[in-house]
Amino acid sequence: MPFGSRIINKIAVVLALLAIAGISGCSKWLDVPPRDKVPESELFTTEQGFIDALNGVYLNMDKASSSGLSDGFYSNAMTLGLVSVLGYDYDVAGSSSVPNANLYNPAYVYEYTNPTLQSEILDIWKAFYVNISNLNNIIKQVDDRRNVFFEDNFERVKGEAIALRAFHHFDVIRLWGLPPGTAGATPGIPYVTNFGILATPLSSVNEALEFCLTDLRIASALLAKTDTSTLVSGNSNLFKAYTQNHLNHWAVKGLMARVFLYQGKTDSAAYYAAQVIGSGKFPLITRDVASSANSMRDRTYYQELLFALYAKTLRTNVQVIFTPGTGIPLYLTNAGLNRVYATPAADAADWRLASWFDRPGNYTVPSKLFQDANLKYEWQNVVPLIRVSEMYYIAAECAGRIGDVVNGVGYLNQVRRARGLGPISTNITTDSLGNALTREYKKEFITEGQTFFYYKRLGLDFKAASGYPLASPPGMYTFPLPDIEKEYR
Amino acid sequence: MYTGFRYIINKEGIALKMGWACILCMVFITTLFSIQVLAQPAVHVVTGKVVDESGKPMPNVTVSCKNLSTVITKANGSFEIKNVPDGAIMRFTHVGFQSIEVKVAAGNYDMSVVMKEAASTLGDVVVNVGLYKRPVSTFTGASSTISGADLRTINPNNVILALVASEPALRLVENNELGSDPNSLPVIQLRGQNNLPTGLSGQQTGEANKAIYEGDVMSTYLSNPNQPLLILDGFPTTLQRINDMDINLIERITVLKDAAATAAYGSRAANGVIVVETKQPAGGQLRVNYSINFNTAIADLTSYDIMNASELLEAQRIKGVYTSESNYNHIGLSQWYDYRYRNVLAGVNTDWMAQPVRNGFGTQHSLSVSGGNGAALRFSLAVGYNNTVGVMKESNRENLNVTNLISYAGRKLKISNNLSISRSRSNNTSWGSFGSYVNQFPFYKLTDSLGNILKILEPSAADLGFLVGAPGGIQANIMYNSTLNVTDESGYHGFSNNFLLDYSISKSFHVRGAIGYSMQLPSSKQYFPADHSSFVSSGSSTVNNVGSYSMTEGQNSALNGQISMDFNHQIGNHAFNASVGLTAQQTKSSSISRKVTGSPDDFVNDLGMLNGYNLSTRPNSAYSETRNVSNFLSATYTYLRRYTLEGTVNQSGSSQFGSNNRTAPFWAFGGAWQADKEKWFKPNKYISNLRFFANVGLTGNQNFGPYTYSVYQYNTTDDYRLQLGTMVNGYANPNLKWQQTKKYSVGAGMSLFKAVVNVRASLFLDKTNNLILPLSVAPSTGFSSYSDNLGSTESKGYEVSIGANIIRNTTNNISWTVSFNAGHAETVIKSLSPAIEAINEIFNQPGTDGKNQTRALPRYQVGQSMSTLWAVRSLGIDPANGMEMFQKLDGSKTYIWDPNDKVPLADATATLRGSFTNNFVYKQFTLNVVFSYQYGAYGYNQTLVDKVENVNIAINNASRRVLNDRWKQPGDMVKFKALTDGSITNTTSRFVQKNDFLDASSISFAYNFPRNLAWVRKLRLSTPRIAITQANVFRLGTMKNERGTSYPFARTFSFGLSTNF
Repeated sequence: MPFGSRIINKIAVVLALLAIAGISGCSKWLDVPPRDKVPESELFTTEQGFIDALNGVYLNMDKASSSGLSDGFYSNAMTLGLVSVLGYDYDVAGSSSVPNANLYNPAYVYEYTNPTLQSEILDIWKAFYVNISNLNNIIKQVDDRRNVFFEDNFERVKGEAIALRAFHHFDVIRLWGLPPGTAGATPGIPYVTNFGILATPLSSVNEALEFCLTDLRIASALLAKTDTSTLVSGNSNLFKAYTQNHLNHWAVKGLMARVFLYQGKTDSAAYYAAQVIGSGKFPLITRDVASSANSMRDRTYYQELLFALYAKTLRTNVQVIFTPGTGIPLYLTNAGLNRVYATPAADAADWRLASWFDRPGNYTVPSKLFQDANLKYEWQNVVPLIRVSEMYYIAAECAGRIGDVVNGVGYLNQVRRARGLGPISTNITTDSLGNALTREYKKEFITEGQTFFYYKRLGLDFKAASGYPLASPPGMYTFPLPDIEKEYR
Repeated sequence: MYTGFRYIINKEGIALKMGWACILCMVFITTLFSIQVLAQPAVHVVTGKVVDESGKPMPNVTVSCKNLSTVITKANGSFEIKNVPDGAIMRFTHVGFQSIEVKVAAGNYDMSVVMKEAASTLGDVVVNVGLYKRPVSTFTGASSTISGADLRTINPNNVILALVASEPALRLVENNELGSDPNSLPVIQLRGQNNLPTGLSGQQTGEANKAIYEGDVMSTYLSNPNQPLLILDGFPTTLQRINDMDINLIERITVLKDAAATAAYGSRAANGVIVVETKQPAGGQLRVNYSINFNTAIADLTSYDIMNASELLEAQRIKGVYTSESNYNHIGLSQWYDYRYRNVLAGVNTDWMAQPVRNGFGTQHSLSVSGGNGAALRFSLAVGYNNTVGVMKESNRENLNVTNLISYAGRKLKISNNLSISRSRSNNTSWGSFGSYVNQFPFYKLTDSLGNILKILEPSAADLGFLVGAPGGIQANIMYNSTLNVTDESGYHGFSNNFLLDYSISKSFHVRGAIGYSMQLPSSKQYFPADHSSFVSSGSSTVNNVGSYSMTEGQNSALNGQISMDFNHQIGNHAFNASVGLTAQQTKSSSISRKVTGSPDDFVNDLGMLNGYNLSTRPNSAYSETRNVSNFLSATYTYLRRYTLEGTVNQSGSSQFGSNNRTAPFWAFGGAWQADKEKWFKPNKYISNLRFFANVGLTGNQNFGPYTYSVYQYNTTDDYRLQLGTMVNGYANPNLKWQQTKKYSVGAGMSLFKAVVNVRASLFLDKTNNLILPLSVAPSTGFSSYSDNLGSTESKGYEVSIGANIIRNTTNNISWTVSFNAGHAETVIKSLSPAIEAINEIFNQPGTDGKNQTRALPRYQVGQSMSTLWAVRSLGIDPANGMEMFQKLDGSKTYIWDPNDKVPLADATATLRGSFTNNFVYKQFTLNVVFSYQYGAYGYNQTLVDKVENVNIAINNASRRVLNDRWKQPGDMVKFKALTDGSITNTTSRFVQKNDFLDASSISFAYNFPRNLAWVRKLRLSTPRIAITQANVFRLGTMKNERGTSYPFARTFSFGLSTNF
């Protein structure tokens, strides 16, 4: 018995030790990732995971429902919807029977304290930063996982992610930052580069623009290493297909021109604009599309687009705003239309006027973003975000700023020719060139939201520049920071 | 008795039957095999009588003889045991008495045995903690044990209801909406609630998925984070399993309340633990036990007092339903009034409430066979069938359980295996919600002149030639659905097997190992044909979208393993008990559900026959997996049988914890003092047992979802140029911890007047920290909130129970026992996260967008009880104009209701709640009465608000008080606003009422047939018994509200017969 009991006692001691110590070794066993969703640790082990995460951001630029912005982010609020209303693209946004009247009516008079507008502004803010945080997570993970990528995909994913981060922040600056001439050192917006729950301190507009440019330089260097020989449309490799729907190498250069101009650095802006124009990848159109049937009409001038969002909700958004079931659409009065497109009267021959407007009733609605369901796939569900004509305008403006009016008018006339208009005289003042540009911005970027930012950048008297009927209130160019964001400041 | 199942006879149904038959056969064969092994040669018949020291005969003494059957003594103390060889040792045991062994001497086959009372009557009574057992005398925690027999006396059908009625620390969260729906699971809490109902903790589940998640061990706790841990025969189980169990199989239930009692469960112990033990086979002769219960459920509609046809019409007239300022409309409405008035005169006064209810008749059978070869090899086989029939037509729940238990007890080794198979099927009523019948106008006819049930209750204005449509619109008859072929059922197949091995290394040293696997396959289906009233508004143009069939199937499983060691040793005055163990659990749960639409008529009633997926419907699936591991060491040291110190440590690990905090330590420490064992304590006739205990400990709660994993959610409905996208789904907190509850508990127990009166009392204080709450973050982070350990709550309360054996005459078998218990538990919020304050803010917004605060919305404020009722203080109805006057926070008066004027008015938690029972035995008769009560609680009388003031009597019938008690003319001193006042009544102090009640929970009457009756002997029955039980006999309450708004409460009568063969 002594022998047996000793053995058994030993076993018992071992068991007891096992019971006590057992748990610390179980850490791995206790690691049970959820299976009905994809754990981050698993997603970022493959190239496809990174690509999907990047596509998630592109998709969220269309419909950022996770942030409460359910009816379109870049496919509505940032383009044909709110920002176009703010830029006075439509004459009737103050009417009580337009779609989303409770939003557009206060926006039309820049009443940023209105609760509906305030909550929309908060949702837009959230939509930007949800995308930014997703980009930050990709950027945070991608360097450690360089080995999972093939060909130039590492450069593409990382380059596009960083460029998109700058793209988003730049629009945040343009909405919430003070106009660039007046911003000074006032704290503006957070330029968020970390993925986490700690709030990033606010940067001034200038600091934030510098952060943008830093990101864009890195992105540009990365994307330069990708295959930039041609613009691809359809391709068996879906990630590399449809170059223009990615924030590609050329779009980054175009964006840099835009940011430099916003910052007031005309030489750099001109340099990058000239690079894009000089690449020859985005030729201006040469013939009026107005005569084409709806199913053939390329209203966005797709070949001119440096970066366009593929947005499946665009059709619904266009329908809601321009052919609503009840009430009246956002439209232009005849006077408004003439003020934009027929001043001077000779300019009424504009191809844009002929092909971008419809008269469904006794009013004129913009149909620029109407994309017929029978249009070729490439041209459908496309929201233009950067187009080559802006590069010509930037080049023209920059030339004008240094007194080179002849060259400036030259750039402007190239676009005018591509819109069916005669050239304007090169013998004009810098100011006249500026006025001519303002008119072109209004014509070219209707429903794209860029006019509002153009007025803001130059600090133009809004009423005079846009033809807006009311006295423009001070502070109309700057969204207030959302209250809930201020709580963390 | 599986024949009780009604299967639709088709191929599948027969296959199912065959499957069951096979399983039953296998179980029988196993059982027969074990009987076969046990044949024995006969020797002598030994008879005798057992008495106590005072000479009284002792019934129920266990008499066992090695390798032979075990018997128990009869009422007169006599016993008889067969096949006894000379020299065999007979062992006599009884709780509270010292065991005796007697050797059978040749020739002496009629014994006279005297049993001595054990030194400490409590010494042999054991508390089963589930992981280990301890003698009550060395246990320092608060626990209470209820025997299965006591439970069955209170409620012979439902374990949970019986348990709640007998334990004051347990609270059943009453569901006034679902009433006595047999298919709704009760919600229970032990000693208050330690969690905030933020919606965070529970996963969203639709009706169809109910059956699925209730069977999953993890999600059952997620859906009610305050639910105590349930342990069935050593392993965690679901509330559903306990609810569906055959109550006849239950040996006893132990409720463990404080840290010392539960600390061994570590991170799952914070809500207390309920340990359920099933009966073990007694061994010995083959014994057959059969019981049958006939149950009748009758709807309790006494809380309803609604208007009849003429009263309603009059109320509608006063309200102005039939008048209009426009002359044209006025004429039209008057036509309707005349039409309805003629109907009333013609005697139409339909009793709508009577239509969907019925008297439900259900039966419960329980058959068990047990036996074995003496103490060594034992087996039992039990088959239970229970059909609980609800009071709404067509609703019922059927449970079938087959349990097979085999055990072997050798000198050192004990092995047992418990196999259980169950099937449950529940049908929901196709009659719809009971509330819609209450609302129906009594002046509507039920059927047309041919007796067909009307689909639309009144002819249209066009048919009648009236100028305008009926006031209140066209009303569809919800009863029409009952004429259609509607299917709404769910159910599951369950299987579980527990294997247990116990090895005694020495007399004081045991090792135990156990492994358990349980699996459950739930499913549910719902079919509604196109004609169903839920599609009335869909329009006929979308034929592909009307009529729907949904089907959900799931698979839940849990694998449990356990290894533990017990050590008991006594050296002189020092006694040690120690247990150490390791448990591990893995649960998996998956489900898939699909819904197809398009069923032109109700012949097209199977999944594959319908048109297809609707645009908005697609299959859904869910999968979850959790793993837990936990070890414990619990040790007690007792000195001089008086002073006990007990300590428990536990380390728990769970896959639900954040990756940086995978394991958590828990502990408890306590002491007990048996004061009556002190030398200075002179034995006296007043106090015979006096005991105090106190303990403190830290326990945890892990009833929360996996917020610790950073996951990506794919968007599969949209594509970016033919590619899918994914986004991060919330910020995962790798530092997330278990919730901690620090529990303090003290208590005392004493026996007075020669143990005639037993008193037990305990006090507790639970401080919960690290409550998992959402914390808002700056939106520029890309997130709105994340989960963190932020909140804390504090629960305190007490329980007292007094039991008295007023008459105890064992000779004549007359006894009268009364017991009374009372308890109180309240939870106060100690700290909150800003996100919760944001919820309060939302609830404080004035009624925007037509939203009103017609309900007392929860509001969480630091320092307030979790169940505080907030409402605006009302000054009553102004007799001048019939409008309600409110008091603002600054004391001024106003007619305008403002949510910012809400004040904490009263607490919905009772000052005192509990029960008292009366058990009277006279010879063969037993009478048992259980009352439960609540005192000092307040409630918001929702039905009064909804049925008297916020009722639109143009479309709904309402309480009779609408006609009688509402303000009519200046000078009326009434409690209710003017009938013509169409404004919505928001939360006001007028409807905060005392919610005290006295509930006659159960009255039962039983008769045990004397065994000397001729027929009893002839049929060879051993203890035949009949019992009549009525549950929910009556209720006296201070709050007059309509109870059971969508499913009525029921009164149940049971008539039961049971016998042994």
